Amino acid sequence: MVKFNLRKDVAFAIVFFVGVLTAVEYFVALPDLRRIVADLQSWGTIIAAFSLGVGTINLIVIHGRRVSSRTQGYYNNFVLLLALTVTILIGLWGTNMHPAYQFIYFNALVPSDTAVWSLLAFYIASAAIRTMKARTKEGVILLITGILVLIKNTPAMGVIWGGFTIIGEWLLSVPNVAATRGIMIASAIGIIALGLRVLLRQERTSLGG
Amino acid sequence: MIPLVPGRSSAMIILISAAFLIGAMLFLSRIRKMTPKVRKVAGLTAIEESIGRCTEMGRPIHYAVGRSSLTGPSAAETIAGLSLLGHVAKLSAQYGVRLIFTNQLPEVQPLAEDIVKQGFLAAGKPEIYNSQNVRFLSSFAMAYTSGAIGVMYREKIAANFMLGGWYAESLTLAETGFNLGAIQVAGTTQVAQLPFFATVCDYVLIGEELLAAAAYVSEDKVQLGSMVGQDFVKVVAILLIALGAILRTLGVDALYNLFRL
Repeated sequence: MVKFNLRKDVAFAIVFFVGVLTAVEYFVALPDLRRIVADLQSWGTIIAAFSLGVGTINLIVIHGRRVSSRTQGYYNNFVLLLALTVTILIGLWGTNMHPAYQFIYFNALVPSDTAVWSLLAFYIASAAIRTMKARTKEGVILLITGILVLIKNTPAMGVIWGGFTIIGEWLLSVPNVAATRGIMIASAIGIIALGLRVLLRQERTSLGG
Repeated sequence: MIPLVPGRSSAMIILISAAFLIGAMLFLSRIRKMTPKVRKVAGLTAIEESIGRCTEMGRPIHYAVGRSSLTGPSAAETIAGLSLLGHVAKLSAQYGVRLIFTNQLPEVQPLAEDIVKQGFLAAGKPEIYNSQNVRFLSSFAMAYTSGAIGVMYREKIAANFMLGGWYAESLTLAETGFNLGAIQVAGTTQVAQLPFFATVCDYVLIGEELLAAAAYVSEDKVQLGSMVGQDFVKVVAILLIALGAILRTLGVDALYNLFRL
């Protein structure tokens, strides 16, 4: 006799019900169905928001233990916990429109975020230099293609010879788009297969084993 | 008569046909009428080698699933990444290697904790599971990135698995792994990030390879059957693309208009 597992069986039943209903709603124009799916999606967002609490607890436990055991660099963990506490308290006390909250957001978070974003330019340069080596046939093709697209994006080269722009644009809009669409179509088919495996309960790991 | 959303009829027919074909192959595998043979995917066979290398070096594994929300349209790649996490967790427990999972999606945190725990349990070593190795860093992409870079450097990882939905942070993390000399296996369906992974990582799972990865590593014949179905659908798609290209070149718009219904 098949044993009923409350936690897993109920979870899979919900996944199946919501999954099928959402897929049907995408194709069928029934206002009632649309309203039900919109409600289900809102519930999903609310549940996801609750999990932010789980993430915050995880942060507090990990960094709190490091501070209490004085591991190397524990002061960094302390700064994180302090910043987390202060931001949460200000947010709870005066909402995220409070001047103090806005000050933290625009003077600490935004500049730090932008600084890490800007690092990407250097990482792209170092990765490009490593890639642009003509060791194999494919490497030579990549090198020539890369240089042509680079030239296409340099305004001065377009003035020297208009053909650079035409070649660069052709490379981007024909072979590049063809390969990209191939990957996208195959991925879409893969998503259908994965969805089916999840809905038919063949693929179980993603819901906790 | 059920009213259909205009412009989605052809998509519905394609979805139903593809699901039917894949489902049929799955069913045939289940009743043992078909034994699927699947080619080796280098990126997936490299996972176990990478974990073995971590054992020899006594250094941990870093695993991350990226930024595609479970409530968004790209959830499939996160689900695929989480499925592989279970496999990696089981292997790391068998080999006795520390697995560090860093996360930027709050909704993934409880799932990831459970999956890693189940992986250790499946390997018969639940006692070595440490919840502190499943770390939520931040839900801000770049805050997560800087946090993950720090973790990778401090822990001196020897293998880096980036399998899921990756965006701007992909290259920064992959370059960090490269600088640390870690074996890197990455996979995503985000076409803009694939060139970065191809440049920096040792193995790349391109698009559908990532989505089929869990079925592949499970070695479950029923799941592998769905991959055969997937291939049939791909053959049909290739034929339709070729036919569409020929017809459009000849000035016949019938197939083109059919897909716009």
